[in-house]
Formats: sequence, structure tokens, C-alpha cells
Amino acid sequence: MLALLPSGERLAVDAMNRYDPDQAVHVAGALAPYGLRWFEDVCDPLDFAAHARIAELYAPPLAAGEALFSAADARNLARYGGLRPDRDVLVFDPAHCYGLPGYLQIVQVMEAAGWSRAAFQPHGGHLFSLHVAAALGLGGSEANPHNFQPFGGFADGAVVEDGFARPPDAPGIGFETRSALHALFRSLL
Amino acid sequence: MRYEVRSERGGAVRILGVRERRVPISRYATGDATGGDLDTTAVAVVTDVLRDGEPVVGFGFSSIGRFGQGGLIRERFAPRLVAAADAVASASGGGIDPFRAWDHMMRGEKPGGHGERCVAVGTLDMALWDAAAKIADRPLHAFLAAATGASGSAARVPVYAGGGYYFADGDIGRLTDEVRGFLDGATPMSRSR
Repeated sequence: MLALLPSGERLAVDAMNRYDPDQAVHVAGALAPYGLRWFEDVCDPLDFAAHARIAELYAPPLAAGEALFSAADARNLARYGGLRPDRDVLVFDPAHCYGLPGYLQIVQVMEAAGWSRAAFQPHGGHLFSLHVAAALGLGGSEANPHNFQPFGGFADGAVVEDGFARPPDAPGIGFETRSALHALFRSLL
Repeated sequence: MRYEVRSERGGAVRILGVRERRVPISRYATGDATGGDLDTTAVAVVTDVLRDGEPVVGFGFSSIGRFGQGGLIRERFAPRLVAAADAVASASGGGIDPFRAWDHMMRGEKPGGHGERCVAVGTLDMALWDAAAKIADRPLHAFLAAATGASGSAARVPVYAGGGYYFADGDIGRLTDEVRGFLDGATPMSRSR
């Protein structure tokens, strides 16, 4: 895959929390030379000591937070996870974190711990996360053009220009701009 | 669907009902369920505001990549929201205040034990923001920026393409095809699991 890309900086790897601490250390050592954009969810999401151990030895960016759902968990990540606000990435999912009131608490917790909003890249790759990133001035958003259909992806016909996407200007989240998803929602009524 | 709508009744905006349904989802473009039997919960929050003769309805879902929360929504959080139907209007009465609705959904919840109730609440919260922004006739990004005191919202957002899940057959070939597709779509990064 790297042969298709101009540099490792264009690729992020997500371990989906599968590695135990020793495996995580081993894999991080193997990946470090590639200079990946980030290495995500490396170990158990609540093993903050393991996060700190990996951050000690893995210099490129790490990402965490997709499987942490509360401000209390975020506070522990900030206190004990050893992550580095100058480079690491926070992938909390607003819909998984008690919705926007809970997500805003997490943003506050992390800002108080020295993180900037540019570090946030909300998980999901759907219209809701795109709006949240635009409104809160976050670093970016996932896009899921092919997976998790019909929920992944943005408006029908939406284009990504130079790596940027625009949230639709329809009222609300604009699920109506995504016809397959709108049909699914309409069928609830 | 028959509800008594606001134009006939007057008063502050109310929530008339919540609908929910489990929806299986796949992490693969082909729809293969390999690797998880994931699902999500789609919800609709019906308000008593009429637009073009139809009630304004907010839609939400339990994001992707994990599981739906229909049980908690049906048993605990949708009933609480409907019980507070008269108490979720914005200060002017003409809109919905999602923060107020959230406080009602969380009433009586205990500290700790976040478990998956966060997802149940987040699912309904998404629909409440959709409804609130629709009633205000604004896209969510502008409505949310105003609601949080931001000076404005970004017109465009950097995105990266998610994907790269393992395939049982032809993994490398399918993976490289997927990455080529992302590059043709001018998305700068992909993520591989």
C-alpha cells in the first residue's frame, strides 16, 4: 500500500485496540520507521499506562479516544496516557460520547490539559461528524465513502477537493441530501 | 402518523414521539458482514412544528463501527424524553434546546458506569440537534457554532478516507484497489485496520 502513496505520512494505521501491551510495543517499533500519519487505538483503550509506555518509545503521532465515551475517561487519558498534545490525535466519536453535550465536555477537558482543537478528528465519517468538525473548528473529520452504508459518507454527489469536504447547507444535519439514508429514516415514520 | 401539531394548538415547541429501529451495517462496501455483525439504531424524533404541511422530524443514529442501543433507548431514554416533551423548548419557545433535552434524558443517571448508555443518549441527541437546526432553518454547523458561542463555522473541513479493512479473499489486491480509489478521489490519507 505504501508503494501507492508518496509517503508514509499519507497513511494511518488503526490497531482497533487489539494488541496487548507487549505486542503493541513490538508493532510500534516495527512501524516507527514509516513515519505514518498516525497509529491509532494501539492497545486496550482503558490501559493508560500502556499508552504512556508506547508514547515513550514511538515518536510519530498516536491516536486514541475512539473507544472512550466520557469526559471522565478523557480526563484519565490526559492525566495518565502520556500522549503528546503537540502531535497526537483524538478520535472521540460525538455520537458515542453522550452526544454533543458530552463531546463538548471532552473538548473542554482536553483543552484544559493543554490540547488544541486541531488535535480532534472525530470518528465516524458521516454527515454529523463533518458538521461538528466545522462548527467547533476541529482538525478534521473521517470520511467513509464506501463503508458502513448508507450511514457513511456525505451528501450525494459531494466531492472532496484537495482533501477538504463541505458540510451541506440544507437545514439540520442534511441527511435529506443523502437519498439512501433519507429513505431509511423516512421509513421509521 | 397522526399527531396534534403546533399550529393547531399554539404554545412552545413540543416533542410528539420517538421512533427507533435496529439497522444491521457492514464495514465493507460490498455489504459483507464478515468480522462483526455490527448494527446501529436509527431514530426519529417527531416535533409539533409544521414545515410545508409536514411535522419537522430530527433523525439520528448510533454512529458506526459498534452496536445499536435500541434496548436502552426504548426502556429508559426515549420515555424520559417524551415525558419531558413540554420542557425541551428554547427560551423563546420557538425552537428546541438540545442541552435542556439532554438534561432531562440524563435525569437520575448515576456517576460512573458509562457503559453503552453514552451511545443511547448520543443517538437521541443527534436527532435533537437535527430537529433543532431544522426548526431554526440553519445547517447544523452554523446552528451549533452559534449555540456554543463560536464566531462562525468552517466552510470546509479536512477529511481522510477511512477503510482498508481485511478481506478474507484477495486481500492485497482489493486493498490496493481501494487505496487507488481514494487517491483518485483526491482524499489525502487512508486508514488501514
